[in-house]
Amino acid sequence: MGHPRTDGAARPQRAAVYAAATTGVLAVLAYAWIYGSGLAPTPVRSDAVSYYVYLPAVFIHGDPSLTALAADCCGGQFPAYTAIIRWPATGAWVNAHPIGVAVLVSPFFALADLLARWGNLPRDGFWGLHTHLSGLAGPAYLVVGLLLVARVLTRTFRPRVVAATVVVLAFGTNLFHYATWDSLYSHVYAFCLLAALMAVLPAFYEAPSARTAAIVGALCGLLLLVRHTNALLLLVVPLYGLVDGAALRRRLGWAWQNRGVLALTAATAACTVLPQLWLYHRATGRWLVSSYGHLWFRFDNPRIVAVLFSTQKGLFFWSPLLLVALAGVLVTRGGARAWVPPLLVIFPIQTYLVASWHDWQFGASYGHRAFTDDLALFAVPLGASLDWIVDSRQHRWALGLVALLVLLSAAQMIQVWLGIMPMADVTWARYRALFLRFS
Amino acid sequence: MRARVTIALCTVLLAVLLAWLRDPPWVGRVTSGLGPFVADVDGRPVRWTRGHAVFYIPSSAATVAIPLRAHRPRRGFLPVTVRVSIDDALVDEIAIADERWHVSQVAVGRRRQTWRRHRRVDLRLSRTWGLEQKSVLLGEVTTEP
Repeated sequence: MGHPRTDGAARPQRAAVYAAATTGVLAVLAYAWIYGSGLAPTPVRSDAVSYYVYLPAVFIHGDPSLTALAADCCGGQFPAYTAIIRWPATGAWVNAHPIGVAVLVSPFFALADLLARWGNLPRDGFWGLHTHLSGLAGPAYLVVGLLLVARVLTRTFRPRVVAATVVVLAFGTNLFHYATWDSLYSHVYAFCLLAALMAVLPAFYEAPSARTAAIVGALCGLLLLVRHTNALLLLVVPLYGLVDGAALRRRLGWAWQNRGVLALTAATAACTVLPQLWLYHRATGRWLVSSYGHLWFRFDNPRIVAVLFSTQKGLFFWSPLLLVALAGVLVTRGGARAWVPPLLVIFPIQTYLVASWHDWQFGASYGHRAFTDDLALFAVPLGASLDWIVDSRQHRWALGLVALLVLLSAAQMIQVWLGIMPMADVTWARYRALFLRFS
Repeated sequence: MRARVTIALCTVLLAVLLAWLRDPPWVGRVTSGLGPFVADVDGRPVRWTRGHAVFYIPSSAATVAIPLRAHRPRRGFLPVTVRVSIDDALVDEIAIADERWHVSQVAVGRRRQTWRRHRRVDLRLSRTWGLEQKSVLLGEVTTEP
């Protein structure tokens, strides 16, 4: 068998459930503050527009090609900032952002639309009932994702470490921001899907069945649908548990023995992405489309140091706790070691790709949002670090430092919300001038 | 026992919420797809419409007058077609090509009866401009019982 031994129950303990639930309540309150006080006008703005448009297009206009929606909302033309373009050869709409977020948000939008029909309320798709019920999917998927992370961690770590990791992950990184401020961006959904994949993978390898194969396949397909670049995150499936050469040999034997299960997994994933491929084919005549058009990579000049450490968007500058998580790789023990190979392969590749993208800052954001999707993977070594710290002699100092870093991250997030800290191009001088300023 | 009480309470709350939403009294103030009020050249309040604008009128109204005009149409300006619907029934279609006020006058009373306090008016406009997706200017909507 190419998998680690499972330790203990997989159901998260009460402390972790409370931590996730409390985070969810805080996320809803934060959401209410953001939109109630006018800090942001609507959750459907910037990139979120192009993730969202499929919902009114399908539920209200019954036209996934976006043509009817464009005619209804925008006089027949989507604005340029939406990155929804007319395909030159056919004139049909092609959206740079795929359908995955809309698929995951669809229960919320469907409920809003039912209520709108019931009350004869506006059904243009962009009124508050539709946009805010959809926007509240962000906090919901945050809670589900955190519970799934807790489920993964519970196999190895003590309950209080699991609960602490859940809180640190939510508030010590930009995860909370992408579940509230930008709750219709793709990041919190990719985080939740990766957490779900990680929660089901041990069972997939330990007791392979049609059910686990279908679940893993569907989750892989959904990750691709949320953002095509999430294909990199799918490496977590083959790399899970490959801690040494013997594990690799066992995995190859397992794969041959369970080739039917693997075929079913691949088939389910393919079926899940089929609607997106159908949309591309219908619009362009091609099954695979580079929906970003003219945007490009510069592989000869990657901005790796800037992506990791710069004041503009440095991952570790804005979320220094992820350094604590990376250090945790050195002290990860037991079943949790199974998650180290995926992290050590995916993170460097992703860093190189992000650093080579022409807009390595990824536009306006809090911290570097390209890595928000992988936070479930960082949770394991983060838990290992916290576990190690709790047992160390200097644990009070170390835990105090962790708490300070969480508070700093949360404070800087609020600075961004208040418009005090810019969402791009922050210089060191500007950062120092604005440090912990709230007015 | 506690679970049953909770389920019963939630069901009652849901029923109350749905009953309240069926004909909400505040819906008369609801708008969508409209910008904030600004003063027109003569000081009268006007609002920009986007591609799809929604507002409500009292269901007691027999007629409604909806004034619309283009804003500074340039040479070669193509007319904006405005389709007016009341409670999802198309009631008027007008073309706006200049800065004069065009009034869509609709006899609401001839529409099918409603027990709701308000009727929903949808304006669907054929063209918009700019990042804000502005279309034409909407003047003060008036109704007569």
